[in-house]
Amino acid sequence: MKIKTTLGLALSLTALSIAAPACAADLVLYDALDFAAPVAKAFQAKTGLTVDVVEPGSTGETLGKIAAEGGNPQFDIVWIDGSAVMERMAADHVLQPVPAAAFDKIAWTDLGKSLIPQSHAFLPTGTSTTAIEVNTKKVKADKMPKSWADLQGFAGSVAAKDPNLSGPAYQWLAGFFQTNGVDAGKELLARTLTNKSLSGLSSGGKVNKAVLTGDASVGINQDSAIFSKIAAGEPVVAVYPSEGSVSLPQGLGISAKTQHMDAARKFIEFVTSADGQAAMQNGDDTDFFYIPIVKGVNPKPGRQTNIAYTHLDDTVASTHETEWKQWYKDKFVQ
Amino acid sequence: MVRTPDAAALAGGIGASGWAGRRLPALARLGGPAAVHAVFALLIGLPLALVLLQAVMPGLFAVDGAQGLFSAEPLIRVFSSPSVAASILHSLELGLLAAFTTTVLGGAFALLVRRCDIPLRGAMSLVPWLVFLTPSYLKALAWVLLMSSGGYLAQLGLLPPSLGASFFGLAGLVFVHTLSLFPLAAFIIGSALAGLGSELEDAARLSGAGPLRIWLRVNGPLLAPAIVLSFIATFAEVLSDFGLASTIARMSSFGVLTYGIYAAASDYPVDFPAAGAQALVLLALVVLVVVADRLLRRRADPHLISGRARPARHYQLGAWRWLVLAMAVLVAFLALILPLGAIAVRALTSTLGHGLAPDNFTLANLRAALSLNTAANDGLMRSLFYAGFTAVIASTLALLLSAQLDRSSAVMRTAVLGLSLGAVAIPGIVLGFGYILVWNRLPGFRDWPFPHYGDGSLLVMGYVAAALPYCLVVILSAIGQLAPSLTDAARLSGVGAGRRLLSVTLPLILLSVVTAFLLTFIRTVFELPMSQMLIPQSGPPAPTLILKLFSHDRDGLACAIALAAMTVAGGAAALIWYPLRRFVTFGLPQGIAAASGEPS
Amino acid sequence: MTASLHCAGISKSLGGRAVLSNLDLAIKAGEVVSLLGPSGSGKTTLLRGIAGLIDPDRGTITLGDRVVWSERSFLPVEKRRIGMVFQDYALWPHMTVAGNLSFGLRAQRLAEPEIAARVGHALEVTRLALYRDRYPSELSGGQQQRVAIARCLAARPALMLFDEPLSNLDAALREDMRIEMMELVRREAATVIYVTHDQAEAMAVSDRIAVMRDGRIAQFDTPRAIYEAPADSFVAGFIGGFSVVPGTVRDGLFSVQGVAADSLRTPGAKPGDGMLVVRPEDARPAEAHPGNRLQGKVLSSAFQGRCWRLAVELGPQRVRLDWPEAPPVGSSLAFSLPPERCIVLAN
Repeated sequence: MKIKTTLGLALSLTALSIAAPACAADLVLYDALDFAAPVAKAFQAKTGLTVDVVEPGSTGETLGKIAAEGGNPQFDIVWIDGSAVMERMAADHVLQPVPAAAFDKIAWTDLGKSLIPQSHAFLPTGTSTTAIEVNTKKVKADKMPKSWADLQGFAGSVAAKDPNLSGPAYQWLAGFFQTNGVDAGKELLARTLTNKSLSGLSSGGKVNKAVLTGDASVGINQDSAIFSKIAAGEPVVAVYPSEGSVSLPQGLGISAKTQHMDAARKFIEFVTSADGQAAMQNGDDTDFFYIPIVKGVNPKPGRQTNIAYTHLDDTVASTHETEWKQWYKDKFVQ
Repeated sequence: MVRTPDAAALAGGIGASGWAGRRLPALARLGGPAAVHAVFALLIGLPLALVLLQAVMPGLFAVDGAQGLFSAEPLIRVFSSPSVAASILHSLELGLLAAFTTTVLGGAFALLVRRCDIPLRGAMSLVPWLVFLTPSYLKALAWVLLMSSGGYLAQLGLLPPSLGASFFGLAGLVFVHTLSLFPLAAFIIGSALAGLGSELEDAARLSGAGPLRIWLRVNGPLLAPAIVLSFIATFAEVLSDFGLASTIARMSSFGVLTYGIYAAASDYPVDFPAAGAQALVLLALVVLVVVADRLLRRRADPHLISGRARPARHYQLGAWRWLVLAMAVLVAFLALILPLGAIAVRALTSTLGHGLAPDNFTLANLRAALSLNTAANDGLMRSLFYAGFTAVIASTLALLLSAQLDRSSAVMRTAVLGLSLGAVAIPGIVLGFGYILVWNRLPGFRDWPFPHYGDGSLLVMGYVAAALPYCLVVILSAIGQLAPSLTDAARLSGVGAGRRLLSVTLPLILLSVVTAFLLTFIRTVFELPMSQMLIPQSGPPAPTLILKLFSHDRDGLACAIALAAMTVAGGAAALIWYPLRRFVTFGLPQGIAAASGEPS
Repeated sequence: MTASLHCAGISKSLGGRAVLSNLDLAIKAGEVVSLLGPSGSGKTTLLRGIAGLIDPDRGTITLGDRVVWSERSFLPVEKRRIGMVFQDYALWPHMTVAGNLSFGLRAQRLAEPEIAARVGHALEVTRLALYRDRYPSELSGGQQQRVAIARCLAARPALMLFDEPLSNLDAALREDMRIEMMELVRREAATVIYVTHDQAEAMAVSDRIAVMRDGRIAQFDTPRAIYEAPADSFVAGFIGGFSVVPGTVRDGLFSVQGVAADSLRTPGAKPGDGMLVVRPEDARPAEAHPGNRLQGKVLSSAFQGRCWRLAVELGPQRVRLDWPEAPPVGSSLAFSLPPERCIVLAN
């Protein structure tokens, strides 16, 4: 009996010791962005406030975790790609509106101003857009696609993300329908995405891989992902379609149940400051190649910003979301 | 039957201390099974129930307030969806095919290692263990690196494009599953072969039966339970696999159920009912196979390792042995060396596209994984630490439960073994999801301080749940091989339950307990779904990090972490295991040393 | 320290089959009692019930003046102070001989000098002192057996149970071991229950033998009394190679069924159908008891040292006889049985 008790005590004590350090942070951040960890580190160094950075994986996995937590969210701040999903979380009262004062303090660029949601569901911190990723080893310079419509010429060899699994991919799909028309767009896609093994990928990394390995000659991908590959010396280029691109803001949202409003406010302030923006560029991965939306901040070298944007009609996009996602799934996934 | 001490018994002249002495065993008698039930309910039953319940109560975890209304809507929706129907068919097709090929390969390998006089038998018998310990998603990622059209094999000109294309489909999945699961079949069939010995075979030879006849009429039927068990175990493993489902199957548009569950669960809002309904279908399939097997054979409990090893004669293969050895080496090469080599090469190069060009090689990835205070190194250390804890807890718990079970009825033992096998078949992703529901949504659990959702303690608990079935099977079979009189003798000598376990049972099955410990340790370092679902706020463990890096296209660093983790975990395991085996075997009769089911 | 044992009304079913039915057994302190019976007769179940390793369904078990098991109360195995020598010895393979002996004593928290004294004594009387630091796997079968007994002795139990302790030894060693073992037990004046299916072993070791059949005690008496007067044909058949021959008693004369010609004088036998018990050693030449003469045909003969053991056919029956010579197989043999040795059991 005695031995058992001792053993049990020892076990529970050691177990307690692993739990102890977990409860202390001032701020819990859920994210699926490469630069979140360096930013949190810089924030911690500057303010002394500790941040637990929780990255379950892709945006989808982060969203799944938030959804599973439901009415008992464990994060204080969420930082991900995609405006529509943030709006949905705000509508479900998982997020609370970001205080108006936070928006007013920032010197937004024109692009930045256009990204601020009316509901204040999130605060945009930067943006990116969708471009055509081309493998220069596979596609000669004179054969480069120039528009979404040109992709028909690469039918069967076009890699794309499944909008069901990727927020940015849905933004692209909705924007594409807006620029090319829903019916014409559907027909165009049906002619272009003829290889189901390439058209239902789950992340930008997989589109990159498909294009780099040559499984696909071109891919529809987030432009920052393409620039990070270019910076790494891979043989790819980013082509912006002549129809115009929809921007994909990265948004910071605040949990409706947060107990750390002060720290959250400080974090937002830091992210939009010069130090914070520098930290957001302190790395070589996809998200570090974002387009800054604060005046006076330059993007990482090599990052193209001279892009023809079109503004996405959020209402149309969210009205048709379920329908269009299902359509894509039935047509191009499996 | 609840009994209380009565006056007549007390009249025997024992004082107050005797009172407690009589009550405790009565409590232990009822408390033992209750504890077993409680452990299983908490670790596996409750989380699973919550996930499955969603299939019929879709409003249970709705954001705007829970509703406990029954509805068949999710099930109808799931069954009427063509993609779900296709994924059920895909899962079944893949499961049956892979179970068949795995059992054939594993059985052949077991026969080779146990009963043939091939050269390098010792080294060959180690191969299944090493393969078993390499996580399936790493192997899958390695095969993607190798087989994709710009991958290493294509770069080396070894892969005709047509083969590469057909690899990403059913054929490739069966191929990789077979190579990564054949150890399971080899263990099950190999231990049955060891228990069979060659006495019966010799008797048949004396009666004039030829080798073919012996295998068809004597050894075959006697090994049939092990073969069927191996088939079922691999079938369940394939059905519940997520590693390949999320890589090769996903890339081949070969949708399977586990990926369907994952896809339903990674969006906002999550389609809980669809996830629950698909999980229900998945479990129903596994349960159906196990039950069908029971009904067909009406046998006693499936002994994973039956009886003691009996002496066996080795077949003399003559010159053929070199050919057979070459085939075994080929299996080892494909299952182990090639995938690990691909990971190692990727870890040591900067881009995939530039392949094996000399200036592409770099130590930067490894340096990042191994230098202190990098995210990669933190993840690695965290995982080793969690895995160590999990291994201690899971093997201790399995030991306590096994000791308890060994004394309880055969029905209970069968039930727990069945439950353990069933639990192996539960996809980690479903269990992980259930853990979030239980520990973050259920009142009572939500505010419970320890373990608490979002910290390492719950992740360790999830790891324990995932590892416990394996530990139980290993330890229970070792205890089953101890003569019951050894513990009976200790009881009669007045030795209490705790001391009996520590001083009699534990030393005799130490090797098995350590095997369970190391197995848990290594598997936990790489456990993926729990790590993803229950990622602690203090930072991600290595598997989450590896997969995140892969999906963010930093596969070089991911491979470096994987390589470092495998080296550390494997090295630590070998350092513990080999000296211990030498030490433990000393002074023990052969039978007991051979009873622990380790590679010999 | 040694105690009496009383089992009353013990019943136990396993898997729906009654293994023990309403069994009573009383053993005096210091007595050596054998449980003898074929496999499946319930003797091991009874032994394990007494030890506490299984629980009976009904009844009471009293050790000395203390009830150790009843339907309402029980004393756990660990506290019963019962020692057991197992069929497979159950020596802990990872402990030395001395370790095996002292393990239980330490668990009972005896003082170290006391433990040393008991272990020393037990090793000395079992002549194992030289082997105290060896592991069981380094000992011969007979030595392992002695360690098992020494372990039992060192614990000074109130009751010692032997579960077919000699069955794993070869024939040559078995008798020596038996004599040595019983010497030890007698010297310690222990109460002993000895389970065996070997009647010769039971006869040799026991004060009394309980012959068991189908979960009941068929006869419980001294070896001699059982030998002289088996209670029924089952006991007679199980003991000592007796032959049991069916027939009919009329006017004090027994006629073997199917053999009309011969009949035997069986004084005191009840009229009607019965079974004649024929002990092999009772066979006499035909002229010794001319009124009790039987004629049969020799089927086989086996040399047994002092005599030949013959199988003789009496009509449809067979009997075993000890005979000073070996008649050719197939020849006819006439013999007689002393009337006072002819016991007829009722069917």
